[in-house]
Amino acid sequence: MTHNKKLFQTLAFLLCAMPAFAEDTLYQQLGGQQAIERITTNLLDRILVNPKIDFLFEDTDREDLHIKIVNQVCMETGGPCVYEGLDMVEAHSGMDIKYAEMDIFVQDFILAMEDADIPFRLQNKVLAIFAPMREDITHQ
Amino acid sequence: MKLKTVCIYVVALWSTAVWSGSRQLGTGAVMQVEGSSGSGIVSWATISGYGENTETDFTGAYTYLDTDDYRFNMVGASIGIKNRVELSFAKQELDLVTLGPALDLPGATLKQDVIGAKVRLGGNLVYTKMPQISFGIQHKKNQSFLIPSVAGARDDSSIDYYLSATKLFLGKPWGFNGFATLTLRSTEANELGLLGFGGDLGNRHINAEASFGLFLTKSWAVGFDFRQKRSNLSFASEDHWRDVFVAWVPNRHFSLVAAYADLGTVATLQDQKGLYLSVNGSF
Repeated sequence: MTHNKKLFQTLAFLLCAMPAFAEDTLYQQLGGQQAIERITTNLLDRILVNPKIDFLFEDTDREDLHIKIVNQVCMETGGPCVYEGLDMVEAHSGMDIKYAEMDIFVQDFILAMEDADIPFRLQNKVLAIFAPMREDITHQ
Repeated sequence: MKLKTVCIYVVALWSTAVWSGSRQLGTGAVMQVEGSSGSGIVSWATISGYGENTETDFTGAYTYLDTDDYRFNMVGASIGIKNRVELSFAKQELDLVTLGPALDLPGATLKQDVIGAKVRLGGNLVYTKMPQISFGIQHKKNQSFLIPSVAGARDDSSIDYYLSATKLFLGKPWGFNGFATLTLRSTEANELGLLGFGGDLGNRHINAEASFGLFLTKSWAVGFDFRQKRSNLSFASEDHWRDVFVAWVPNRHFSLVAAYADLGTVATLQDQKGLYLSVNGSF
């Protein structure tokens, strides 16, 4: 009986303590701020010179875009940042981005994560967060 | 002269290859046995190739399946138009390795041509919550109707109609990219139509098909297919088909599929199992 009680107490303790062992945020799994900075640098190195989409960034200030992307990825993956830029519809309004152009951006984003040694399974979790934004980003 | 034509063709092909469609790797799936975009034996809701709504591209495929008693091959071509419409053509040939000599018809083959059309009704495989949903038809014309007619088939041509839903799940399960397809097919075909259409047991049925799988990396996928089949011919009762597959998609221009297929009993011969190989090219 005492034995059972003790077992019950142990189980109760473990269950209550569970949140403390909760999985790291995606932000932490990726490698935190440093990794996101690196991914963003890799991404800008690609998209700003990719002849298929570089014209979309003609009027863009690299420093400004860098900060916005870092903050957005950080915030969306559960990190301690606040994205203060325009929402996705406003940010892309008047650009009339085609699906095909967004595809090229996504491909460069995947390569940027690969270059930053982000494992495939984490890459996919990041993509899953941003994929639903396609309709807001394109054809605005 | 002929060589020159081929050379021009190859160069033209290469130059267009540079401008191939821009959809994500693997999203064109592969050509299934009747020429539609899908997996080995199942038609999917995907549109062949990699074209987006502003792009159009072409896919060609060769498929080979050997069960010892039968050798199947398919040559097919398709065009994916603006990620909305797919048109396809496939030539199927089934070599009756065992049955031919047994019927005193050594070298006998069953042949069929399939013209397919598919339209994406809505949804996007990758980007929308809703699965990609497509409706397709396959017009089938048996080109060797003597044997099927003797076996009791009613027609040498018919149309399959199918409604398909396909979805890619980014990061699910376990961080991999999973994919699933469910297809309902209305068909009169006996063994795809290679044994003609309809028979003494019935004509049209609505059959279910399904595919499930995982992208383990950007270029490697594994999965399995199931295709329900029902019998119209008491002479040649049919079994459901299934296969497990591995697909390698190194780039947007080339893919290779290897599968192990279990076709059950086919035209009286039991336990038809064997290796399935398919090579796809897109530009």
